This record gives sequence, structure tokens and C-alpha cells, in this order.
Amino acid sequence: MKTKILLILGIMMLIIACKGPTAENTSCDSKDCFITRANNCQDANIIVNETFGTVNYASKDCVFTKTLLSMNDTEEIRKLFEGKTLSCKYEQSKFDSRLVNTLVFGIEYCEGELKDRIVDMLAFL
Amino acid sequence: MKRFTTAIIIFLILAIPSVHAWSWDSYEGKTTWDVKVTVDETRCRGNVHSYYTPLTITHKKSGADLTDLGHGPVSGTFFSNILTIPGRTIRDGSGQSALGSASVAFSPDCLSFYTKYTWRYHDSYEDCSGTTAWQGKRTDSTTCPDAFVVEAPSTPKLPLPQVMKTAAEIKALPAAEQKTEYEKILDKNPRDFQANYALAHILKDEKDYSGSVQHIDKALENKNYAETLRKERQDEVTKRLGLTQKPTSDTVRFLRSLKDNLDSVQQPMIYDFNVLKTPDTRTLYQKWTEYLSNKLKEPAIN
Repeated sequence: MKTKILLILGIMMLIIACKGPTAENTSCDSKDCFITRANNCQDANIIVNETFGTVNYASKDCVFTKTLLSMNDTEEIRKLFEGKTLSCKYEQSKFDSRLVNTLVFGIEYCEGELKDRIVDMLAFL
Repeated sequence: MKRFTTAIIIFLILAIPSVHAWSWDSYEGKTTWDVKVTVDETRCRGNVHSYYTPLTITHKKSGADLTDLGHGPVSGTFFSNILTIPGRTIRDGSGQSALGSASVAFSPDCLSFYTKYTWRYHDSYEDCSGTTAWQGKRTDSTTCPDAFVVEAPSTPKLPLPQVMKTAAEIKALPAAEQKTEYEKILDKNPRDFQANYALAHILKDEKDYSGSVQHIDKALENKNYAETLRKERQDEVTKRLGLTQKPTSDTVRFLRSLKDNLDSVQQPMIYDFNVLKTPDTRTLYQKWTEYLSNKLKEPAIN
């Protein structure tokens, strides 16, 4: 019985070891943390409540992705934006922090439906 | 002696028909002109700049319709060789301009005209005035459009103006040739809206971002065309996205955030190129729309 328990524990430890860094290892609790990790091309992830809605910022292998998860806006606008992303490839040590601190600046090098919608909306200012 | 004098006068009137006074208020038909438009915006934080633009006048004896010289088509009234165009108020960018009346003086040889009128621009940020001058040269003929003035047979014909390709012809060319054609247009008229705008997008494709940004800025200096482009883009986006109404920053929170973003930036940079902030916020917003736009939105102008 004791051998069986040790065997199960050993297998569990092996599984955990093989799984590598958990999701918690990449998540940040501040934009500064995210920017630092992204700038080093380390995987990073953060969900932020912005004034206009909730945004997921992610970085993996020097590719930044911004996803608009939910919005505090009209139904029509929410349908246009929610779930839309933009992505941009960048070089190590050259991450543009404006990508997480602003909506417009830095997106000229990005692609994706979220960028297209932002440009569409600019026409109404 | 008295009879002799009368006979001399009658002879002179009959023998010299070319001195018979010809005036535009008796003519019906069309004439074409190349007009140098000089705008003095020095009192509106601008400068003095000129551009050339073609003009067609449809003559209806005392009435005349002029195609767009920068503020839309206008109509006027001829009395002899003076064309009077009444003053009017037009929308101009984010404000409006009150254009003074213009008295256009046409030369007796029917080959040129000149006028200068004042205007006053007003928006929520500024209230200023300036002048606009038109200097026209006839391009469809070298004579008055009437048989009274007989052209001397030895008069050499002026060379015809260089025929520019149409917008459709240019767009059918490969990008490199399009670029050459637009540059030719800009050599003649550095403020040409469509040439600046199209060239900006070609340069962007070539990753010449600073060149692209400069041509977008130049294109948007034409406030009427810029306003037309803005409205067309809004209509196109509203239709494409299936919006029930045009969003505004008062009703859409996301737009407010975009506006705050653009308003707050101190050093606007795009493509690592410092874009100077403009005092006209609407132009600033429109610039960013055009800087970031992937596609050439072809304005339905001309």
C-alpha cells in the first residue's frame, strides 16, 4: 500500500515537472511587470480593466497581442469590438510600452481586426 | 471740311473692325483656363501659398458658372469684362469661412483675368482673415471667341498645355509609374489633393513613412477636400459596419477614450516619425485616421 502511494506521488511530481511553467508564471499583476517581461521577450499576460472595457494583453515569443474582452458600451459597439485582437511582432528590448498604455499609439506596426476597428472609429472624431 | 471729317470718321469705323469693343457679357459657350490661386494665410498662423488648378467657365451671356477653384463651384454676373461673384459663407474644416465678393477683371484680349478677394475664417479656436487671388490664363484659345477680333496670320500659336493623364489612367499604371505621374502633377501644383493623397499611400507601401506622412499632411491642407474625404469615410464605415447611426464621442465611450488619447499626447510619433501637433483638433484626428489607414480611400472628388 505504501509503495503504491509513493508511486502515485512520484507520478504526480513527474507530471508537474514535465508541465513546465504554469500559467501563473507568465501572468503579471501590473502593466510595469508586463512591459518588463514583454521587453525581454518573456511570455507575459495581464488582464486590465480600462475605462472603455476589459483588455487582455499578452506577449509570447516577441509577439504582442491585445484582445478586447468586454466593453462598457452600446450593444452595437460591443459586437464590433469584443473578442477582436491586434498583434505586432517586435524585437527584444524594443517593446513599445504605448501599446499597453494607449489605444492608438504604436499600432501602426500591428495587424488585426481590432486595429481595423480602431482606425474605423477614428473617422468619427 | 465738315463733310470731309465725317467721311474720315465713317471710314475709320468701317476700316478698323478689330478695335470694336468685345466683351464677355455677349458670349455663350465654354472657355478653359489655368488658374494660379494664391492664398495668404499669414494672419491665420499660416503662410502664403500658391497652386495651379484648371478652370472651366460656362458663359451664358451675362451669367457665368465657374468650376471649383478651392471653395466649390460658383456663379457670377458679367458686365462688360468684369465678372462679379457675390460673397458667401462656406463650411471650412472645423469652422466656416465668409468669402468676400470678387470682381474678376478680364483682359481685353480675352486671354487672362485677375481678382483678389478677402475672407474671414472662424472656428472655436481662431477667428482670422486673409486673402485669395486668382490669376487666370486662357488654355482653349489664343483669341476672343468672336469674329470681330481677327487674329493676325503671323501670330504663332501658343504651345498647348501639357495633357495630364486622368485619375483612372494613372490608377491603371504600375505603382512606380503612378508615382512618376503623381510627382508630375505635384511639380505643377504642389497642393493637389488627390496626387498628394495617392502618393502618400504609395510611399507607405514602400515603407517611406516620413514621405507618406508629409504628403498626407499636404493633402489635408485642402480643407474642403479633407472635409469631403472625412464625410465619405464616415459614410463608408457606417455602411460597412452596419451601424444604425454615426457614433459620436458623446454616445460611445470607446470614442471618448480614443479622443482623450489623441488630445493628451505631447510628442505624437508615428512610424518613429515625429508628427507635429496641429492646433486644429479635427485635422489632428483626421490625420491619424489617414496615417493608420491601410487602404487608399478614394474620395469622389472631380
